[in-house]
Amino acid sequence: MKKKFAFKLIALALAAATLSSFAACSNGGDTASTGGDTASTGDTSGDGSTDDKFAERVALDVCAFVSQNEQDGRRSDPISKYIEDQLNIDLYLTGVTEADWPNQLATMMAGQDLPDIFLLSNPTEQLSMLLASNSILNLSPYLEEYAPNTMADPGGQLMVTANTQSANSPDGNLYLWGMCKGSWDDGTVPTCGHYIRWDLYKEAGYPTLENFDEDMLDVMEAMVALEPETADGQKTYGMGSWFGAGQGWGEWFFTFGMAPQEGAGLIEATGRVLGVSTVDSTPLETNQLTDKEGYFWRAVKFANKANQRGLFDPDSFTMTSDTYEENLKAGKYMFNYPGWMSVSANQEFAKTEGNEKLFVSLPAIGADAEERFGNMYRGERQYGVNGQTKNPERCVALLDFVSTYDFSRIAYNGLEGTYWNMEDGVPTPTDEYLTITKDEAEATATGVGLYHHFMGYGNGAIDPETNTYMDLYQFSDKAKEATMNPTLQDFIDHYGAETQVDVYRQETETTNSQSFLSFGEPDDEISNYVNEINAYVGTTVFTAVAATSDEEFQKIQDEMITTLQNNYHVDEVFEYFYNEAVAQADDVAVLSEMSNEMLGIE
Amino acid sequence: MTTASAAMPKKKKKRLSVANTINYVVLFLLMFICVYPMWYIFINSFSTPASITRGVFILPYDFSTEAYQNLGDITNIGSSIVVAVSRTVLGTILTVFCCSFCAYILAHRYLPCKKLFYRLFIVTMYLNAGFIPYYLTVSGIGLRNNFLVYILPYAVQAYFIILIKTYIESIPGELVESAEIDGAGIVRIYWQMILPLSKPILATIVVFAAVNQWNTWSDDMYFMQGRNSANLHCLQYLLYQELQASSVVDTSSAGAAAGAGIKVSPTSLRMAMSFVTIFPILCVYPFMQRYFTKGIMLGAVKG
Repeated sequence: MKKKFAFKLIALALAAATLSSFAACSNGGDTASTGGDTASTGDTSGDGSTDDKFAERVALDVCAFVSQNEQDGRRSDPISKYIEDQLNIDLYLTGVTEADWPNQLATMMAGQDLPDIFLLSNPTEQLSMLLASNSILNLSPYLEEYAPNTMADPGGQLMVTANTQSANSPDGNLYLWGMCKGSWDDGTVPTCGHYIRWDLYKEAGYPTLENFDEDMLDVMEAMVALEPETADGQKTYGMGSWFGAGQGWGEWFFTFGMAPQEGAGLIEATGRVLGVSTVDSTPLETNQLTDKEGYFWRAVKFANKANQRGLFDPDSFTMTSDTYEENLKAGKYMFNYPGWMSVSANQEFAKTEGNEKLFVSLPAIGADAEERFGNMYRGERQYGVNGQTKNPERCVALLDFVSTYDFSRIAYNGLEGTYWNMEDGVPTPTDEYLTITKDEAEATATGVGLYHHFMGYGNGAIDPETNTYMDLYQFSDKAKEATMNPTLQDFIDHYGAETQVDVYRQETETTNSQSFLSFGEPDDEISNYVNEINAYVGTTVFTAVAATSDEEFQKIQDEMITTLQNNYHVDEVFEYFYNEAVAQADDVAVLSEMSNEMLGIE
Repeated sequence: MTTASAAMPKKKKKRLSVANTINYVVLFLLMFICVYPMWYIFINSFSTPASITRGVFILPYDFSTEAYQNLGDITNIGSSIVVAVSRTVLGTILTVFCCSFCAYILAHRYLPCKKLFYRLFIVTMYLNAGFIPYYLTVSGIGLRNNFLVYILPYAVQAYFIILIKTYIESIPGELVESAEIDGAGIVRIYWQMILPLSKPILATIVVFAAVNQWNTWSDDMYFMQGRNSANLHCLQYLLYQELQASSVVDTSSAGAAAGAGIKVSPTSLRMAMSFVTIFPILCVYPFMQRYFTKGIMLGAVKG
């Protein structure tokens, strides 16, 4: 009997445990609302001077796209200490990645556990969710008092204007704060370009390059003939790609391989159906996925032609991008699209003394415009402030502080006196800085590069006060002198220019690019169609590249276009985004005027 | 007198028949297919990034320990190893104890509503409320930024309970009855009879639980955040973060300039991390294997 009683007790305990585990699952909503109720909204009165406001030291939690996490988030590098001293805060900064942050953000949002300032990895989708849960702060009331630098800076004003337009704000208030404004380069290494091994082009006797689609293939063939093997005996090819990287990244090549170099951009958010002029943001009239002469299909056809002529690395169909980059650095390819990989390859070439190998970005071939000198007017990354933060003023002050030109320079190059000094009012890198690798400089000891996506301006932006680029390591006059080599000098001489930048300015009519469209969150139906289009194109287009004859290519192309039209609503999607683009004409005009005034474009 | 050697039948010289030769070749190929991927990871982790791109090979083409040096440079890797080992050891012990005790109770003939309780456990294998409610529950009971989040949620797992319960049911009931006649209580019977008799299945559970604990990093990512998470991160998560950071495609030329000095590619880093991750498990498996096979067979649900 005793034992039976004991088992009854255990049975009761088990029942209680089971019920509590079920109940725990359904308590989510209560927990969330409790969290929300207990949080303070902070003092927003704005009384007293800024100094008085900042007399009390407060702690701020920030989740941003930065590098080198430290265990508790409290940074020990000198740049973080500098921020803390300037704003009288304890900065707990956690680096997040774009791959995981959306899920982390979603759980934090549900649990009302958001940090004070956080990255929005997909602002279009996340802003509406944050607004619905009252989790993002309206920054507009704080701008005048706590963001004086941004409000006095034309670039800052442009960002605020863009982020309060209807595509980025449902009510005209500022919720998103753009970082990394301006440009990622000085125009010499655009993100997507037509880079060739100029040393071999020169050796080949500067063959004709008037038409990209045909002449470039001949040029590649000539270069491969001159250097059929790499230094370590690998066969060379005209070009390669990384189709093995998977959908989205694997077909980057076709999205950006042709359009930017001729003054257009294929908008990824539209499933690449819509192309936009980089000159004035007007939408292109044709659907880029069904127009055989459009940028997308021209890029595919170019790769196919290269493949048919044996100039395309057959490993491209399975290769990932890091393998591609290693091949590029080994000298396996003569032609390349991504600017950052060209820089990487050039740095590898430069390790061998006297090596004149060099990838150089060509000016537009047969086009009167190109996306060369860009302006990320909204900022490349968007941040928000927790709607429940106890320190909204301090959050806005921090965003404002890191958004200045001065801080961006520090973020790239370290504090003044470490790797650079002010000489006659001009920030100048030290000799030591230019002899080390950027990787060696980037360390907890100096803080160089840690804030790579949590600062106001991209490294190719120009500080109007000192007329210098943010990144002194790459783009200062002293750095350019140090990295000048005979091959680059030959490129400049070939076009009869003074500098590399001048080559592009003189060779192409319009090199400033302006893309002011922002599509917001499309209807669910359209979003689904876009996802389906991306999935179909991302898995099928490679068969067109692999076609062994023009007839086979034509057949695959026709089949794909027909399938896209019949099964994937590609025309409906195009119509939707085209109309959206046209409807934004007034907003675009405002931004365009502000941008032109800022950049001195007439 | 015949000598011993003469008495013994003459040892027949083994001949390698055609069938055996084919068997050996096929088995060797199968073994090679199983072993080579692991060997590939190993040799690639000791190769330079450039040599990895040169395809499949048997020995490191260009020997380099850079990938491992890179792992060694990760901030606080020492404390993360301590946390990973602690969660593996403590989590496994707790899982084995809780699951075996639950299974013992569920297998007992006197438990009222036995089937109902058993089914309630089974239901959790097929239904769950999703991650957000789980996150809220765990946060609500104060397990965020708390080491216990690594072990408590894994303490009771239905799959392990099924395996152990099935095994315990195969133990003759008379043994338990005789212990009860001798005056042993529930806990004593569990501790002194059931546990020792269930070693094979418990060894199986130890392997499963330890591998799960050692490999899990997502709880770290979600529940260890911000200023209160110092020294609570696991090795796997730090490795994962490092891999993510190295795999981020920074399309800016600044990113390229920053990355140009790095001698390790994401691929070689991934290989080194994979090896670091599987090495402890590789060490444990052979010792548990003899229990493992027996346990999984005996604990298998029989139709």
